[in-house]
Amino acid sequence: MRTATKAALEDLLRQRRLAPDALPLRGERRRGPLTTGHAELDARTGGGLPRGQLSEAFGPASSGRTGLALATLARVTGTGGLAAWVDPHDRLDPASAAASGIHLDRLLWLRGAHGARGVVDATRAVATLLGAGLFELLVLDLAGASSRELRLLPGTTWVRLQRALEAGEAALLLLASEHVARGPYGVSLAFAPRGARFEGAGSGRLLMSLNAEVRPGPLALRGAALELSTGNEPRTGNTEERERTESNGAREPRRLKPKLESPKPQVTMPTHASVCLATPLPLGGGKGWGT
Amino acid sequence: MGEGKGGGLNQRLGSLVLFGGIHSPEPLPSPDTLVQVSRAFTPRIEAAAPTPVLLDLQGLSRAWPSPEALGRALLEAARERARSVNVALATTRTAAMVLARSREGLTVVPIGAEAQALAPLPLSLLDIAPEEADLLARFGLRTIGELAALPAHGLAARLGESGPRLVRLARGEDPRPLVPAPPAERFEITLDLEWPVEGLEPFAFLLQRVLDPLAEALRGRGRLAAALDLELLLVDGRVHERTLRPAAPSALPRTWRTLLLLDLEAHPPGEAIQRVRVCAEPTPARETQFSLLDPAQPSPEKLAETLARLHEFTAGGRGGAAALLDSHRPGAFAVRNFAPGPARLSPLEAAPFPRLALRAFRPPLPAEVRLEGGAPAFVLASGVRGAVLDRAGPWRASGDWWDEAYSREEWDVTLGSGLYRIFRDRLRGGWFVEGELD
Repeated sequence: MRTATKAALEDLLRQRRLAPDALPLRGERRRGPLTTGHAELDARTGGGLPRGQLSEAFGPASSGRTGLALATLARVTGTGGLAAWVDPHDRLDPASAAASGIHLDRLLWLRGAHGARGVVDATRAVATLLGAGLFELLVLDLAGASSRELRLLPGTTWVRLQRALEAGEAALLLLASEHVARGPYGVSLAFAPRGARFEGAGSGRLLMSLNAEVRPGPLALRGAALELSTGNEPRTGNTEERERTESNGAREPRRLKPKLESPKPQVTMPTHASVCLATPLPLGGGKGWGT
Repeated sequence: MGEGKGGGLNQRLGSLVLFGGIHSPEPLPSPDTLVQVSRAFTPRIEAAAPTPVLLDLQGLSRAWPSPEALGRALLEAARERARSVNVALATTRTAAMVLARSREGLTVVPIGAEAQALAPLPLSLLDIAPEEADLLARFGLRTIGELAALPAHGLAARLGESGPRLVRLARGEDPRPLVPAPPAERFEITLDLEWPVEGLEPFAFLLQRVLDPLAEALRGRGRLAAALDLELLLVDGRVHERTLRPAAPSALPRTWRTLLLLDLEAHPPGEAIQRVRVCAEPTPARETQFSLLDPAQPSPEKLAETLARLHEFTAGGRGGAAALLDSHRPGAFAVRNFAPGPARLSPLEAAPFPRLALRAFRPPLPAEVRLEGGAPAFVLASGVRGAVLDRAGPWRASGDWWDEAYSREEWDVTLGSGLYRIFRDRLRGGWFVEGELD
């Protein structure tokens, strides 16, 4: 009787509370994949990044790998999970991470020290994190690692990490410039840049988004279109409104928030940290090499 | 000795409210000498270490028939530990403390004679703020009796609410009840080894022998250890000291043992160990009320152990949880201890669509930039090179003129190899590539 009551209660909880992406109950094992938030990509990868598997996202510079990884991390930390970013080359930008919706206090960031063995140490750190079983998603950022650095890795590295992954429910995502490794049921996302979209002209020109194509696997015939937004909006304000500098902060009170977040900007915002400091300058001057 | 000044309390202790003050005008052998003497009589003491010490002596009639006998016993016990000691017994805390500081030997104040006993004493003996003492001196008041004789309402008209308080204090009345100071908790275990121990493996077993009783003592008092001091006396006479302060307090010996061993692996003592001393810094244990619906929180012990295993990454503030600083300075952040609190759930629908992220170069790459019409036309830096195909900017950012000023012009540029953010440092000159947009 008690068991039936408990089961009924759990069913009720699931109906009322637990959507497929929502929280697992205490002790409940749920091996659903970690969604990236990109509907087409999730559909074509069977739901997202599979747990217990090594997945990879690779592509050249400015192909959207980091943006998609941060979006996935935002979903993990937003549902109460812990995540880790192992960063042997110290490339993560916390402001970008916060703007992507990541709860920074639930993201462990391990920064490497630029040494030749940084990648080797990073894989050891990943193994330690997997052994702890505390994290739902681990990202190992190898984008920009040289082939020499990758050659220093022992040949069994990825097999060892895959074995460690299978013992738990975490997913491991490799960010790389080219194909490195993936688990037997992991996904391999190949990114290709499709250009950036700018709007406006002259000093009011804005970077609006970066477009990319993501192929889920080397044999995929067709890729999914990915657009990574900068959060900018078309310019509407007049020049005077944009004249703000922090040096006379009385005009603009300081705000403690991710600087990439500007939900309702009064004026057009640039992509980056100086959102409310930005002052478009008139173009001028001559040609020549700057120093 | 001044015994029995004032004629004594003239009654048995019984249920009499009685306070004692002990004061030593000379330096004491150790800061807690008087506290130790006092604790032999009563656990309820209030100590302004090292002196004076106030005792609550109520209910001691079974051991001492009269207040005078109790006072004599207190004085004798204190004089065994310190050369010069004054003891005063009175029915108010204020009177006992002031008289202990002013009269030599033993003083026992009769019931109701507190104001009379305090009257000839200087005002400086009262526990009042320096500004109040200056003010009273300007009024021409020199003794406690002169202050006590003033009408309270008149003083209230001049000094506000502190006026009546000062008058009550001068009459020997207590402004507040005694607040007993709990005995200092010290969780420390020392193990002298018969034979020196070399190597971490045999030492691990010894550590268990030290940590088990220490954890037991902590749990017995409802405490956890927020930090652990390890002191190893080595055979060459050196002392190897380590202090561990994990993200979360713990009283699990297994966790502490692992953390200590991991730390000693990273910082080996170098010689055989002759003596082990472990001292815990206690902190109240906090029980967590778990929620049925919220996700399970990570075990603090396991988290601390994991972070200790990653000390290569976490040492020197290089690993942890990033936190944005309240600054507009580009790239301003701090790395703090990774200690995730309760989950703040955000609905998935609210998660922003994938955003363009910066992959920062730290430090920014020095670059050469060719300008055409004031706009970047070609960028050359380590690993980044190409003609500018498209651009947005410039965006000027400046600030922190009161500290380390910055002023820069930023551009987002498309090169053949990718999308980059570059900036010109307007204060120091020079162009830099800040990062790649990905």
